[in-house]
Amino acid sequence: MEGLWWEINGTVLLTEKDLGRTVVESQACSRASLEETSAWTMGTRSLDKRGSFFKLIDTIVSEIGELKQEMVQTDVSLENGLEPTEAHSMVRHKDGGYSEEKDVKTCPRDSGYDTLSNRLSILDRLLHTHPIWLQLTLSEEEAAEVLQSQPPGIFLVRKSTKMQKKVISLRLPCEFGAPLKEFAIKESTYTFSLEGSGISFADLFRLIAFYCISRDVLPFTLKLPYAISTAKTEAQLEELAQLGLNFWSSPADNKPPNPPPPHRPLSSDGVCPASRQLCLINGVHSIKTRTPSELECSQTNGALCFINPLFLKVHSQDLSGGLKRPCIRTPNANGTERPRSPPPRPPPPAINSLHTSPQLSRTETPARMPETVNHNKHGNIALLGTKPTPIPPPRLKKQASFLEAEGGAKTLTGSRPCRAREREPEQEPGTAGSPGGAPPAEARGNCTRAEPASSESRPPWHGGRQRLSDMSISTSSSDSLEFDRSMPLFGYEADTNSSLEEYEEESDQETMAPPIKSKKKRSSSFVLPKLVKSQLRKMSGVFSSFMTPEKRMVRRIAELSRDKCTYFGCLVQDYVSFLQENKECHVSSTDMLQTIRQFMTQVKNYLSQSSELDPPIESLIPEDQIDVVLEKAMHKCILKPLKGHVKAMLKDFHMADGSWKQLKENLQLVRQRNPQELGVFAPTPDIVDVEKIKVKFMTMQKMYSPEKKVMLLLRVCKLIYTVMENNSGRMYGADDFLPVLTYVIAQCDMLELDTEIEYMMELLDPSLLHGEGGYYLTSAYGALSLIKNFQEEQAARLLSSETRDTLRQWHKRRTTNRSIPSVDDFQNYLRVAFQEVNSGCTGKTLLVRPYVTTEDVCQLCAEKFKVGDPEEYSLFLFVDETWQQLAEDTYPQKIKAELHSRPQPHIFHFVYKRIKNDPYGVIFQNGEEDLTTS
Amino acid sequence: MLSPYPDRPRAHDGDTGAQSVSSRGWPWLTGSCSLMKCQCWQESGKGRLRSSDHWSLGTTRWNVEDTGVGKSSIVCRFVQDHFDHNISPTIGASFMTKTVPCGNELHKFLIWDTAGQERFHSLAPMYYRGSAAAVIVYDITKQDSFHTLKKWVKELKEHGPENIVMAIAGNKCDLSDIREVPLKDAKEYAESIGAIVVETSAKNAINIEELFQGISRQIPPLDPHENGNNGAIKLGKQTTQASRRCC
Repeated sequence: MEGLWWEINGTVLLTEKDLGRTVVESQACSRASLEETSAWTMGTRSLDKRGSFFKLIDTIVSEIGELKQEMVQTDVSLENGLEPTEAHSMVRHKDGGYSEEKDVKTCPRDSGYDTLSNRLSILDRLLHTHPIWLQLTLSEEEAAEVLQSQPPGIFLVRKSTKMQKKVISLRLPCEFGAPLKEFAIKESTYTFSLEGSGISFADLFRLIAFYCISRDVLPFTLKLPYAISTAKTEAQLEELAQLGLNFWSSPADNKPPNPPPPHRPLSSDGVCPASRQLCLINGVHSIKTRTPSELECSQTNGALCFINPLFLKVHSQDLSGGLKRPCIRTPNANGTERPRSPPPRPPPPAINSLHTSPQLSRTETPARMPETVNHNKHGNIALLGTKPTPIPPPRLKKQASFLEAEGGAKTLTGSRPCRAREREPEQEPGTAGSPGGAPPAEARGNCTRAEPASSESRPPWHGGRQRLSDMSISTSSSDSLEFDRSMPLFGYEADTNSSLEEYEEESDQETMAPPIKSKKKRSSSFVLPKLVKSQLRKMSGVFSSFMTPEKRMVRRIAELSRDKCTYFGCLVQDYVSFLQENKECHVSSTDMLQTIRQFMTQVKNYLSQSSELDPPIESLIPEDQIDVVLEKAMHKCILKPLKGHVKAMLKDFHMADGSWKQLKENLQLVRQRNPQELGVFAPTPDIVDVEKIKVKFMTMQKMYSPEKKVMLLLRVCKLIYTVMENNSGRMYGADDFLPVLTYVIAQCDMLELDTEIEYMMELLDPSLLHGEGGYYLTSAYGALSLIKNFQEEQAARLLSSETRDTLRQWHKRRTTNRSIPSVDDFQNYLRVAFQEVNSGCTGKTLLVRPYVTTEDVCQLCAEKFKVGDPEEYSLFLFVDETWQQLAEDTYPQKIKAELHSRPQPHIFHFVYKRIKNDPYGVIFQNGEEDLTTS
Repeated sequence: MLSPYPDRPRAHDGDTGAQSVSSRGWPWLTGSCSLMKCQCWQESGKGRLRSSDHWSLGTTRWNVEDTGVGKSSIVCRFVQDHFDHNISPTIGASFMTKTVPCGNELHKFLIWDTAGQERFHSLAPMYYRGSAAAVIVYDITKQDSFHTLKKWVKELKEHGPENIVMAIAGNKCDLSDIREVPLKDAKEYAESIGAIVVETSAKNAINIEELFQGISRQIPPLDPHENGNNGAIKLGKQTTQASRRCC
């Protein structure tokens, strides 16, 4: 590896020697954990060797000399064996109740990284309040109007129709002449950056957060509205966010009497200064000697700099505070202040478990380790510190014991990875089951965030495991937790976690025995030397953070799709279960696949327009990637659950229409031919290669994503080419390739290929149909058609006109679908709300064909909503604030179509409710959200 | 180089990606011109990268043992002659891509090769549908191949996409001493059907570039309103980088 990863307390710095770039990685490790400690020592060691490469690191060396020594010593002490740990764990058990432990664990981290329980970072504030400042639909005039009354530095992010890109509209002070200026945001495949700046960010929030603390190409830093920058809790922010655009005109947007430096809200508990300074402890700050703005100077173009959001505050402090970074030694001094930050905790209650369950105590020890280390570090610092500050006595005591404990924890390393692994499966269901996006993170956040209620509800060992994973050296699970904490709002799984999961998914599909495989893979990881492991882990962190926004988004959407509280979730769930339950609703396989494809396209469109994704997808994914990401998400949330069903249905259809049998017979026929009779005059794959190809086709059958299937098809084609070319040395065009492909497909003798190809052709993202995938898919389809229509006497003749028509229709269908469908034309679906006096509104999407009468719809509703006395209910149309009961012989779909065709869009809902129900509208209002468009 | 494309309004200078591929779901559709976003190399550092056009090469083969009229060689010559960093190599010669600068735009050619044998004739519609242009190759030393060419032209006229740009390439012009098809015949025929005609030699790299440039110039500019999407949906580009195979 050319670059050296330097991970310190939440910051990973990649120095790419060759490129001469520095990437400050937004790898969110939000606490000092044992692994960090080892990374540290490791880092310092390799630094000794390669110090000359990295000026950056050189600077650190001097600054952390003492600390380093401490660390090395610790390392040595670790080798002394278990003793200290056990002793320590006992101590811990004695004096720490379970929830108390949580507390212990949490606090250091919180204080270190200002997670929510203590203080909100700029990033957090931005995340929570995006409905206020992220106004993509706002016009220039409206933005000007909003900002007019704001002090300089206040900004909005909107989409400029003129430039067709997002801009920051920034309020300027009077001396600038114009009241506001716009700064365009450039989006590349993976990043967001400001025009003219060399600093790129993984998402919009990070970009804004950065410019809140560093001006870079701006005339000055961005400012958050006073109310936002002074809010103390998430709840307050949420409340503000509720206002949305109205925030700007509401009294909530009160301005400070005389605007204080925006980033220095003074908080009485002294948390902020301490926590801010904390980041300096580990020399992070010295690494930051290259602040992003400095980095930018040295870059010509396109250089990347991912800013660790956690670090923003440090930087911000620089700017708003002293403007100068604290001198080199301050970190130590500051470090000692840190313990002050967590809120005072009661002394840990004693617990009796220690003697009775040594196993337990052992598991828990490492669990606690991250904190331990943290404390330890600070302890060290405190000892070394030139400016000792008052430390609460209990803390002090702990620090001492943690010092010893650190050694013990290390010895457990061997067993650790296993446990960490075990944890992961547990995590999945948690995520899956959780409604909405935030909960998973919330849940995990809870156990780290000192929320005793939730931690108590978990069995202790569970908590222990989590901790274990935090520390595991070889795996990424720790990253995941860290990441969650750093972005508590999102409820995403951690990056690395997700990449792991991705892997599993793949292996799922490719090997059929994912658990075994992944386990194997995992366990192997801890044979790796520590250095390698650590490096790998860091690398994985890097890659995953390059991937994250996309994966996070896909995951987020998948979660949303399981959440029936959202319109999107309902839509997807209703559709999926509808398809599964109603086998007879499609007349042919094409019809079925087409509807699914159409549904996916429509839902994609809905998602890209709706506000249900929070934060909006535009803020995380560069525009040119949005569709790709959405497509992936659709595969995951629609095709994945439907795959089995679709496969079975396809087979049924083909059995029923005889094409299965036809193919079967003709396959036999074709297989008996020699290659020349099929028009093959090029080398053909031998049995071994055919076997290889078969394996690939088998794998293909296990995938749900049409794109991945196509990838495999391409691999098969590649293999065929290789065989052809190897044996002759010339390039082959379609004249030779198509016959060989036909021959190979026949040799494989897999009837299922037919349905596979159909699946891909109908479900593949239409835009991919013109590329290589589309070409070979077309060829494969052609080859299958040839086989299907192969008949002795027809061998060299045209396909039956029927086949030709099918082919043409297919292509026409897939290529002429120009208009962009909107959510509104979910033909055949009707969203009906069910209104009950007591329970408010629920909505369901029903299959209602155009000529289904209101009477039938009512019947359907009665069934679906489980109404006991259907005669009391009827279908109503709510439009223009009025209610109309629909007559029994009307056609709801026609009414809907009519409403849609009106020049002005009408908001309307179909509501199934009691006929004699007076307070119309009242309850309905509550449910409106639920209903949106029918 | 003369740009075949009138300068379009460039309100959104620089950011063509979201725009040009706006209707990503169906960019290559009947309109046939589709766009690819890539990096650009214009003075501003962001030019327009666009237009991937989708080609069919229809041709005929003299007989199966024959090496044919050489359409694959033409494509290979075209694609491989100029080293292009931007193309991701394709897995085989049946489907190839090449990005060609044209004025201040880049055109990406997606070249679909079609099996020319009679027995595959019926599959051809799948290949040529949706394409912006078709190159039909004949062998100047084989009169029969010229006849087959006429059949292809007829079929394309009848069933092919509207406004498809047709180019007739008389390959193997290095063998003009055994020529069977006079250039004059080809020119007259091409004129009668409004096609581009050029005699090429894949072997000696004669006129290959010219053939494709000629086509490039004939591809109609992007439908302006395809550019102006309603703004509500910004759809992604279709994989520009080599990251994806299936394009």
